[in-house]
Amino acid sequence: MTLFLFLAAILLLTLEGLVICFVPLMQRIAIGGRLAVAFATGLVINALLLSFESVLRIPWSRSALLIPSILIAAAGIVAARRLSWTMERPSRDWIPAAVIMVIMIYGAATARLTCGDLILFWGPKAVRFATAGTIDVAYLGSGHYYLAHPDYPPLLPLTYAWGINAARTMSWFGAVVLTQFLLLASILVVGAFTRKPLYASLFAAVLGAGAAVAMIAGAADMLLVFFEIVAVCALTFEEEDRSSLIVAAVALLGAAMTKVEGASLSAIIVLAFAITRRRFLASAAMFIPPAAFLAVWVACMRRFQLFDSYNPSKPLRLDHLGIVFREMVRETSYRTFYLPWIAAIGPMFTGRNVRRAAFPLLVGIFVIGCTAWFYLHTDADPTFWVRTSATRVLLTSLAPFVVATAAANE
Amino acid sequence: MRSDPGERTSRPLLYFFIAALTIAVCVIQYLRGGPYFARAATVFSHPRKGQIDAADTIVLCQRVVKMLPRGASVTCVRPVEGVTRSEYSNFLIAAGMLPRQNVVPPEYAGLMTPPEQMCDYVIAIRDPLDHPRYKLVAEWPEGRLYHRQ
Repeated sequence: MTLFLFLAAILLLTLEGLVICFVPLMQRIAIGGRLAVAFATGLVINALLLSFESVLRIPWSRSALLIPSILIAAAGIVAARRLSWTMERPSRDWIPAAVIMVIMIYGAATARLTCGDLILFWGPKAVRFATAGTIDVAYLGSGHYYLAHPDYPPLLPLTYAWGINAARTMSWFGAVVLTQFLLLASILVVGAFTRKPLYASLFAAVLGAGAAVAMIAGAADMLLVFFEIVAVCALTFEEEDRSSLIVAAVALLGAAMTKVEGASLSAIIVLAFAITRRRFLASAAMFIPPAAFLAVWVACMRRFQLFDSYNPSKPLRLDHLGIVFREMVRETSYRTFYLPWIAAIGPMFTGRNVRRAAFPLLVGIFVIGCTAWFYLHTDADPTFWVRTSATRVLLTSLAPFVVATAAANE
Repeated sequence: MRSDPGERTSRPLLYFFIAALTIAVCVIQYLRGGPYFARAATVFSHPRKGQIDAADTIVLCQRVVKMLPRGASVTCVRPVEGVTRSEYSNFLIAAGMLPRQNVVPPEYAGLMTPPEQMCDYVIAIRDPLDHPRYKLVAEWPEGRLYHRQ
């Protein structure tokens, strides 16, 4: 029952996210993808709501949470009623994606995919926030928990805290199963924007294998991939529609609110879009929401003396280049002889739409470069850091490569 | 649905990669070990080689949570030869399992810790704690709970 309430409360955030249906782009994508984009928007709205209430010192009572949520959800339903909700007959090409989802949910339910970060800090933060009824600065700043990364952005703990408020307790299995729903939502987004379910199945296979090796269930990595894939797909396949910029901006905001790497990922997506599409003003406008969030978050972290992970003053250690390169090459094999990379990139060469594929391709390449850049900013030997994180972090590179393959074959 | 010659030529290739990756996902999960069709005791029952071993910590915290008073200071540690050691994973996990208690690092239950700084309870994972100021309260297969005298 706890698991059901926890998951249901989080998935119901889709109702709040339906406000995105005011954006014209939503009419043109399939229902599954539409709901997935609404879910992404709902997660962002919920995190913003809980953050604002924390800043305004309003405790997360039932009325403080439910009243604004119900009002936003009502607006969402009004927006959604403007759209047509007739479903197309699903293609058989969805079957592989469904099979992979079943295997992944089995893995999560039998605790084969759980990430240590869930029980070390993402989960504890959520539990402490929900118990305190606010973003618990006393807990974050106590000094005992500095290894729990006090200044990491709050979207995932706030999402879990919302689920805890509904279920009255943390559902640890709910958290690992939620990661699989985020994978499912990402698959639906790829299917909806590419209009080719077989590429959604390829995405499911590539990300499923990567996630199974990296063991990311319960952590923030799949959430970051989800926001990334919403932004990249909207900007790749619907670039002619100006309203795709709104969808991408919401997703970039979500990415920046999810992980420290989300900030650089947002910048990468904006930069790659500006380079490949030459739409500099639109690119700058798209970056305003994540930049504004970062400015506020960093200011808050400085105010409470929790500023750490975002600190740019760490020196570049080029003498670590050899170690970083060697370990990244080793880890990116995903213990499957680089099969996810080969599958993500290989079919790209059967396509010819280079212009369409350039943007997601550049995002994937930039992510690899940026990840190496981060690894080069540590005083200690980076071997352990690379070994414990590269497979997780580089999922955000694998994902746009699949999109590039789908785009090239359009 | 959009359809084009490029897609038609790449379909067998896509199906090949999807099949290969699906097999890989199955093998990866199989190699995490059994039991394969039993409900996992905790969310961390199948850790990867080299990962922290947290299943006992989770079970033990779930057992003691109703025994600990609200606001009590508590640490969670795996003692080595009866003594607490500096480690971070167990007490960080306990912080999420014991939301109404003040979970502190193992240094608060060391032999050299001044008595006024000692925490009220120690959750000792697997191995017993040998400390003159802490008395055994309860014992389970996963570990023990001690209370400060």
